[in-house]
Amino acid sequence: MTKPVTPLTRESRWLTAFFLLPLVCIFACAARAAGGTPEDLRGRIGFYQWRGPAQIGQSEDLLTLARQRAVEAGGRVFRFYLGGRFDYVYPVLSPRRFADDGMDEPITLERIMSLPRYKAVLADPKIEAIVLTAYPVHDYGGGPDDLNLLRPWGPELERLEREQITALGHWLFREFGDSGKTVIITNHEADEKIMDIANYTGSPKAAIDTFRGWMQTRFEAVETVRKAYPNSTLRLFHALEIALVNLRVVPYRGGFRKAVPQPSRQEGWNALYDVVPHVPFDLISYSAYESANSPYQTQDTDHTPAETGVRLERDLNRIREIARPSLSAEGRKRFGERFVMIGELGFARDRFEHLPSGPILPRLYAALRAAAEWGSPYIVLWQVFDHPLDGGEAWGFGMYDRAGNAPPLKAPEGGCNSIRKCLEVLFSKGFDGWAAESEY
Amino acid sequence: MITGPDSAAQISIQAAEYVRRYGALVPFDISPPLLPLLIAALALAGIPETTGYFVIALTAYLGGCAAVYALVLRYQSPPVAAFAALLYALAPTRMPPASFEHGSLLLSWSFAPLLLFAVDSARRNARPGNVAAAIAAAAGMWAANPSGVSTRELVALAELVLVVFVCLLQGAIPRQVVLAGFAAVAGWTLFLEPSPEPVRSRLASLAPRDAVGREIFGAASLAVEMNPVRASARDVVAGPGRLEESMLWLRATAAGFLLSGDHEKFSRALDCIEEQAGWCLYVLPNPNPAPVVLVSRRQWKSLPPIRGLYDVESLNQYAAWAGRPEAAAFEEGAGAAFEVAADLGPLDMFLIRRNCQPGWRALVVNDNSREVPIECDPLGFMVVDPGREGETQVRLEFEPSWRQRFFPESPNLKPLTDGQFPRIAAAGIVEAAGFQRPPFQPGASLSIFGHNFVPGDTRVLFGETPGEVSWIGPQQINVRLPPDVAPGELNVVVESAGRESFAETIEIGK
Repeated sequence: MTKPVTPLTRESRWLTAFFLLPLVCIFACAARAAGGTPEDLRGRIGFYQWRGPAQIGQSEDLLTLARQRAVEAGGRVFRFYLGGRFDYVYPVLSPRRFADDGMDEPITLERIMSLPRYKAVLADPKIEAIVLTAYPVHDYGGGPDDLNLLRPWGPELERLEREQITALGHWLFREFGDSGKTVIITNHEADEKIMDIANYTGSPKAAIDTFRGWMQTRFEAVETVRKAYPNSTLRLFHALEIALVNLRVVPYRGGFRKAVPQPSRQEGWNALYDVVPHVPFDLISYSAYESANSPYQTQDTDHTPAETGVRLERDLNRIREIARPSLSAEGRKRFGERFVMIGELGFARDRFEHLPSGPILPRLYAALRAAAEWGSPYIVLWQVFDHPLDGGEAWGFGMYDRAGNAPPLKAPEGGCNSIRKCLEVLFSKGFDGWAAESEY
Repeated sequence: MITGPDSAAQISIQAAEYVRRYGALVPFDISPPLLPLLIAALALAGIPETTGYFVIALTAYLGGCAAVYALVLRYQSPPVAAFAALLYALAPTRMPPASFEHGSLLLSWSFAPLLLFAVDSARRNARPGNVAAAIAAAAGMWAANPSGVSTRELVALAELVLVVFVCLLQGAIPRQVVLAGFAAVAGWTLFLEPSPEPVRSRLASLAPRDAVGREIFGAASLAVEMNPVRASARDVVAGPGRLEESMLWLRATAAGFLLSGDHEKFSRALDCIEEQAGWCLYVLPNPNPAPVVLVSRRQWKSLPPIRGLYDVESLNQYAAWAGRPEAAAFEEGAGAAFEVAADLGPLDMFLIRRNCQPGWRALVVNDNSREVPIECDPLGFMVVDPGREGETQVRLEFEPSWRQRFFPESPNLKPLTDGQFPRIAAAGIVEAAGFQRPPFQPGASLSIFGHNFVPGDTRVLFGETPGEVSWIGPQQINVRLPPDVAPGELNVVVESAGRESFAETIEIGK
């Protein structure tokens, strides 16, 4: 027989609230200071799987494999490329991409997203936030390709962007409107593309104008779609991804490169200063290598791991200062002052694992902790699987290598010794637990 | 079937495909004309090129032996003639598979006993038919291998002379000597003559999903042989060391895969997706190894020449210009033509990764077949600028002159020379004392960081004025900025061992 519950008197309710509220606040502040509870961190940290060849010896497509491995690691955020250049089955720009999928022509973002391996990411119950690096698809002659931003922004590009992002948005609400998930549509490193366009056209102004036009159109499409579904539990956002905070795209030998701008020279551009203040967005996505890898002034990677977190926090604050006026109402409502997510964060094994100042794991710890404590709503690690080797390029960012093994990393006795294991610790014991175990 | 870069058989087969497709021969020093012509003729009769190659090689092999038999039979008994034919069949340069790998040589030296037979016939009876047969045999011998005499050919000649001499003088030489000679030849053939292993592996079948339309660098390639710059690049990649330069060349040539047996060099730089018989198929992460991509007209105009095999800076610039992901449609026509098409932007033009040979012309199909020039890029690929925006279709036709068909020339390119060029690192000029970046004051002491500086043979030019150099190492120069330089921008060039770096611009303060 159950005992009847005595209702609380008005006085006792106030009394309870009086004691409980400060306790809740203290707990929340402590959790924030520690980067969040393990459960909170699971919902904010995840992995990226970018374009690349299929895994060695695997018959499964790369997207499915990466999703499965990312979910196994415990994070509930997953980011991938959505566009025409790569289908996660054949190599990038393979003449056979999407050939086996039986899609109707023309290929669009919505149609790609409807393919089972893509749809499975959204349907995965263990993934709460999905970040789509989305490029509308158009065939310029060589098969399905990304929207070509090398040409001046104009009605044709605008139509393509608006139509496909709108159609994708409607599809997302139709298919997953009641899922309670978060979908973020973003680009890949605006600064990389700005430099690319500037090199191609010789005009940084053209690059900036194109980018502004593109981002404005994308935001409008996302905004229009979500307004059409006011009661949906799916949250759809537009994030503008940048990669440079302190560096600029500067002229160099008839072209352009990324460098520290010379104080006496006026020339130098980046998306943070030249695009972000001019277009609305819900979220900034920061591809954080400039902060995480090395001091931007010297590019010397051999600095203590703890400095990684300091630099990242400094740059997150800088981004926030510049970007705040352009934050959309929806972004402000949802993310408040913490509207800068980490779109990419990772350390190459060949560059960082053997540095005298410390290997990868303490750097990853410092960067993750700094971003989490700062309040980044999402932190995306680059990436699930290693890229193929590419000569002298930085290599070995993956949680797994291309054969599917988790490469062991330097760690103190008894501490976690791979990205996979350290995330397990993080998601069960929080940052303090990880620090205690690894003696950071 | 994929073979190593040295496979003469593969080159002959590709030359036959070329003959059939373009109605022109390839340069004789790359592939002698007769064998490809015969293979192409068989192909017209429906026999695949690879089969045709082996049919011709086998026919030549047996034909040569038959000619020896017939020649000796005129002077000796049938057993002796048969013995001579057998001896010739087992001669080192003719023993399969060695001879089958060198089909043109086999063919050429199969004409030799025929020539002897015809000359002997003409000597006995100078009928026009016999004389004509001798001339035809001599012509066949030349057409099968018109290039200079190699060691292998000298050995082949010695073999023939030996066989014929020994057999014709049979009886005058003790039988033991003949048998010993035979045993020596057979032993050399079987144990000492290296077999070139014409079929390296079947790696192509191991990567069918990835290899579609993608060039495999390192596989035998007529296109590479016909392009001196690409052949030079092939030698850098195939040679020892020089990983940075090899990777740049691989990037520049935009191949999809690399076939190499040099694991020491490449296993840390590239992913080997399949390994067989000591060879590895590596994935090359090039942005788009398609046969045609869209490139920037603006960048094209400022593209520097590639000054040498190890000109890292020019190669980097080339790779940045050519390594675009934006593809265009590419369709091989039935004959000596193909088409490229794309929806062009205002600065787009086509980079077609085909050898830029004399005889090609480009017609803009959807602009009244207007002819536009074909330019050659530094690697000897074709660059076609239709000079228009929007959907554009360009047809490329190969219409060489008769001279070009029968005495073809390679693209007008020279093989690249060895040697390195001094390089100033990006942002590599700083104040010597505190490594401060520009602007610099006139007379300041500077350190220049870079590569390939030759101690004792290096000077630094600030504009036209040489700076006072105080120390030179392979990667650093300490130099004083002239005190009389004017404020503003100034070009800095390092000249080392007679070769100049690209200019780096610094700013001089007031």
